[in-house]
Amino acid sequence: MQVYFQGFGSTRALSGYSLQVAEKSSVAQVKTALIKATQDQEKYTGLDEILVATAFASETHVFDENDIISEDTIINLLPPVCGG
Amino acid sequence: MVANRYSAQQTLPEIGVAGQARIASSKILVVGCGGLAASVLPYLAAAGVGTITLIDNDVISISNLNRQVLFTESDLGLNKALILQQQLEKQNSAISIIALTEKFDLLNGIELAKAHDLVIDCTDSYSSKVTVNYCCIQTKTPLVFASVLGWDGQIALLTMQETADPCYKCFQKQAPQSINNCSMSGILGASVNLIGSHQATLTIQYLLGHIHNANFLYVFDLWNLEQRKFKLSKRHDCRFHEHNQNELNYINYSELPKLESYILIDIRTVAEWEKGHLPGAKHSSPGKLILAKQDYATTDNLVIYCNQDMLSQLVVENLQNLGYKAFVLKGGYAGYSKNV
Repeated sequence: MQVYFQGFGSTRALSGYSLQVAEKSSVAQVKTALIKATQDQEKYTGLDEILVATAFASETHVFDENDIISEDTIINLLPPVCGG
Repeated sequence: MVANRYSAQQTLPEIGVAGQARIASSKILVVGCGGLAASVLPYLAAAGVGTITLIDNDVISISNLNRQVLFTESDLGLNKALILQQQLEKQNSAISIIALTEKFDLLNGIELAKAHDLVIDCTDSYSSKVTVNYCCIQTKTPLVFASVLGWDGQIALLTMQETADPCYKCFQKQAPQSINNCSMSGILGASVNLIGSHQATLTIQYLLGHIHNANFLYVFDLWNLEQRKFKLSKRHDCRFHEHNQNELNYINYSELPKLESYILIDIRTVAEWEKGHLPGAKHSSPGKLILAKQDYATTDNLVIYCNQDMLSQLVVENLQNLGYKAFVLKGGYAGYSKNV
């Protein structure tokens, strides 16, 4: 199953990135797989720490980490924004 | 219709005379008086929101002036809430503006949230946002959250009325270990204004009883002027919600001897502590306890109590997340006093 990522804010560098994950993976498993896949790549340095705190969303709603991804999909990455 | 100060907005069918009366009778609390507040408040005062309470203990510095546009060079060093109060009173003398120059925290936050119809979060740090969120959940006070940094903004109206309603912690479970702020990531005043004016719109819609935009996270890419919205739901393991609080460690006073050893910590105010406290307890403020956690080993049994359970639940959650063995003393000091 292929998951495509759309990054916002500090995760924007991951827009267009895609990952092969097992069928019926949970959102938490996809998050772990994304962190593992990117943490040793220089262009994504520091993103692992942000991804831990990032909300994952479908095209319409923010996922619970227990939600199951059952088909190829786009996941939106919504990192914390803390300023004002 | 005879023209009056509000006739332009009263002409909108969603407002009208009845809607204007609702706005005029509303009481809102604005936490944080920086860039977002400087954008939100003029629109709320202009719209005739009856009572606006401002709270911030911070003072104006030169680096604030690019986005906190109600302040001038002559205001440097003065309290932000007091200066905003003066500005808004000049703008609309028919409404009531209250300025509080203290920090919004768990000690004053519950009562303040309870006393208002809605809270607007204009703070600029994750820990402040979590505190505001907690006080709103505990008091079922709706919250209009916003945040902006760099070219990114987020807004949400969180209704907080039902246990199933989402809160801020449902979508921002934790902060990265090192999170940037405005001085590190940079911020443009006009970007803050755009987010703040949307925050004001959501606030007025809620006061009018229109909640079609509630419980969505609006995400803004201010560089490309794009906006997306995502439906929010309660996170299954969000401890901030009542029915998940059993995931925290609780202990009764009578059960304390069962622990091999423990450190009993009172997190009430100093005045309350001085009036009376549990035998063998130490006193600490909630913030100091969390920040000075290195005073304790992760193997220590930390038993935390407040007046009842509210503050201690939040502190214990934080300590548990940090890897400490912390317990909420059930019923707090009130429960102990009743049984002694």
